[in-house]
Amino acid sequence: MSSSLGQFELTVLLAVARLGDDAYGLAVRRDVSARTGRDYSIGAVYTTLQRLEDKGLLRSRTTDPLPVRGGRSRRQFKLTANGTRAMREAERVAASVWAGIPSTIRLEHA
Amino acid sequence: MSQPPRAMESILKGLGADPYLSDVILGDLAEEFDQRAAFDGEVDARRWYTTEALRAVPHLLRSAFRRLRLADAPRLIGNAFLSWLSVLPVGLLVGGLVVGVLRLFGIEWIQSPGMGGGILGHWVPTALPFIIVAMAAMPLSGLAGGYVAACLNARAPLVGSAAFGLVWTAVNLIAGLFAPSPLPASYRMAALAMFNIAAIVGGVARAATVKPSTGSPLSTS
Repeated sequence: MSSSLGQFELTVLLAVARLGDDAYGLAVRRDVSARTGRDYSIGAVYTTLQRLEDKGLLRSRTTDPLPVRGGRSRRQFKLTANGTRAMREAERVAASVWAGIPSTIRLEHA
Repeated sequence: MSQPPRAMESILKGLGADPYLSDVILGDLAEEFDQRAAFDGEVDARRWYTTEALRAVPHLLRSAFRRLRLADAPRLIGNAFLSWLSVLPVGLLVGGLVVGVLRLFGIEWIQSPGMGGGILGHWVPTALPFIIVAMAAMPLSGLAGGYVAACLNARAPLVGSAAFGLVWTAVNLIAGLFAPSPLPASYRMAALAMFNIAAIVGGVARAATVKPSTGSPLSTS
């Protein structure tokens, strides 16, 4: 398992966790773009999904071919146990580095 | 049902990326294209598709280069040279015609001494028509060579076309060291750019008929 996650990797990992059984490239891209306010390319999303799978944080399977995709399959992603651990670790680190920051700076008080 | 732009599909398929990756990207693009065509109209959907396909190109190219093996390099360069040789008669024919016309009208021309004589030397234009014909011959040669190179690199047609353009560019630059061209740099740069763009267009034309398959992107077996 990778020791650290990049910001975009974590964002994509969270999107996969959020989408559950509907986590495939198009849905992940829409979720990530809607939440970050940035229009990510499908290539960037798949490159990251592939990297996360290589790190053992995701696993994927292909569906049956679909007419709406020109007879191509979807590639659906799912979190692995290592992926879940990596997310928890990222949350723990984030909470740790934000600890002690004055409330006037925190977003909910802005 | 609306169909995505075929040329863009061909470009993405022809890059020689991991077929698994290019297939899911093309699938996602087709799926969203269909939804956008229904809501926004086909014109907007096609514009969106073209933009997104171009944005996917760097990622697919990276995948294609990762699939390259060291053993593929000789084949790639060899195919580029074969393509270059295959279009050489076109250049010689056009050049011969131009020289004939120039002589017919009594227009003077000179040839700078260079390694390999006529092939690697530079014909120095002294008349505007010569330059126009020579400039027109560049994209034609590039187009033909790019198409041939794409045929020789069936699993990564555009990589083959790009390699052909680069090899041809390198040959010209090396030739320029032995026989410096008196032509303006802008002319030479424009000619090189036109040739390389035309080579890619030739590759795209070929890629439209190629189905991606597994294995090394440059293998022909």
